[in-house]
Amino acid sequence: MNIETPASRAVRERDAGLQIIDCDVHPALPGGLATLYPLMPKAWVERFKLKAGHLAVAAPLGFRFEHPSGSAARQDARTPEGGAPGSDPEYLRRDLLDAHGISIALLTSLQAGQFGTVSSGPDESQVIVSAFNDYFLDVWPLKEEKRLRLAMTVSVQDPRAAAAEIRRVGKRPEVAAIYMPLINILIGNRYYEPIYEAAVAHDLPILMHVTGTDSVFYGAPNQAGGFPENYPERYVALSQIGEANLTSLAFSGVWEKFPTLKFMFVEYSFAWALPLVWRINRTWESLRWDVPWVKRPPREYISERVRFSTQPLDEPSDPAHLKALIDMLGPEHLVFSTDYPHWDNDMPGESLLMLDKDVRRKVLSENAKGILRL
Amino acid sequence: MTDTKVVKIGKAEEFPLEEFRIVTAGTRSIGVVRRADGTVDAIRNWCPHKGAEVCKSKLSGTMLPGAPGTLTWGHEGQIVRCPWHGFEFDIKSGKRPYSDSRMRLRVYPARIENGEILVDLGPQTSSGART
Repeated sequence: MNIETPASRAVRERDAGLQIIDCDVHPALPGGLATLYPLMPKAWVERFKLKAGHLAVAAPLGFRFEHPSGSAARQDARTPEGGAPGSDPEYLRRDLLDAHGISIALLTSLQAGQFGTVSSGPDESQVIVSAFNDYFLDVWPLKEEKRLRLAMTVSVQDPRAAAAEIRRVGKRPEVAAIYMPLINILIGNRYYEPIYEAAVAHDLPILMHVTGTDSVFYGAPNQAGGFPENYPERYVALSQIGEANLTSLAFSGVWEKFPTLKFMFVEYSFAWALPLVWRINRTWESLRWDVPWVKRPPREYISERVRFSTQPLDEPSDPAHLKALIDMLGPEHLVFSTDYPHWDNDMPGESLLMLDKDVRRKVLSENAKGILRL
Repeated sequence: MTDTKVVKIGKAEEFPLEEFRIVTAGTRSIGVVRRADGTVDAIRNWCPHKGAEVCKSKLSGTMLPGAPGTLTWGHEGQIVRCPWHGFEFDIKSGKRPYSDSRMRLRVYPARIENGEILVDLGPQTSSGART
């Protein structure tokens, strides 16, 4: 007897011809920072050894924001040997790609992102993210396993060095996006121009994702209004960072300087984008003359150049309400993501089933093909 | 039956140059601008956005679309900027400059004839109601 599961439904859909592109999968190092020492210059290895780098946790959330179950990673996604979830590519292949019918998974290393933002210094972070990129490009089987693609990480603490890193590995065919972990400078700011120039030159989208440093570390993006008290408060309000950065993009004129540059907001959710784009556009209608470099209604730029990942999906009591919201926002703005192997992942077999078949197909695969470099 | 209704609204010399003067024509409030070149602009004193008296404003220009960080001023004297929400309109066409909005000011053809400013209030039914 076959037992119906979310995985079996997804596999059935895959076998029926539905491609699923997962824009948010998190690989992990099996042994912490020391895993990367063979990929680093010797002097930097010595520095990190002196700092007890083998004990370094990328961005500890602190006791206040620790996940209530002790870890944001799913304990049922540990490797058969008991290793960290996401740390074994063979197991990830079986547990995610094969089991859930995923055609392409975009790997985004949150560990690299955490080191690449403010939890290490500007020079340290360049060395560390380069080693992360080399680790996933060369130690993981990305050359053979075409279903795995990498969002290469850059350290935004030095935009010129980040651009150099894009020039170093951005041409690799296994790279499909640039993960730009955020600091407390909004992304419409000219500070990022060296990164954007390199992204355009390599036809790669800029991907943003919460890093774990948000509202915890000085210099990281902080949430509005005050300091959250616990994990749920911080978790819900992470979308504020997406809102602030989308607003920054909309009024900055970035797309006048880089007309083809595209942005992916990953794991900021998306329901907020609908009223925010209304408000951005409405405000531009009133005050265009204060930002005359925004030459067209900003919703047009956003519609052409910005995509939001679906996870974490909001779940209103009536799924028809979410369907209506997606219809109002425009399903072309959405790319599917699981967030495997984290506790709040959305698996394709149980996600967005209320959408019409052709709309669901666009969200699950077609839209991602329009923004990732595949 | 429909016809256009052209009304005399006053002696041209009594209207200031290049700024709004608000007059009443029938049940309508109209903003009239006498131009230095002898032409006249006239619009309904009603913002199509929220109904504000849009002519209680100074005629302006606006910022032309341009590169980030640069400012270029243009359309001097042609832009009506509503005092409530800042919506801008071209006084000649009634359209929102650089926007794809379908919102329009009501623009009336106007001219000076024998020293009088004439405003064409547009098609009227025989009862006098607007069509």
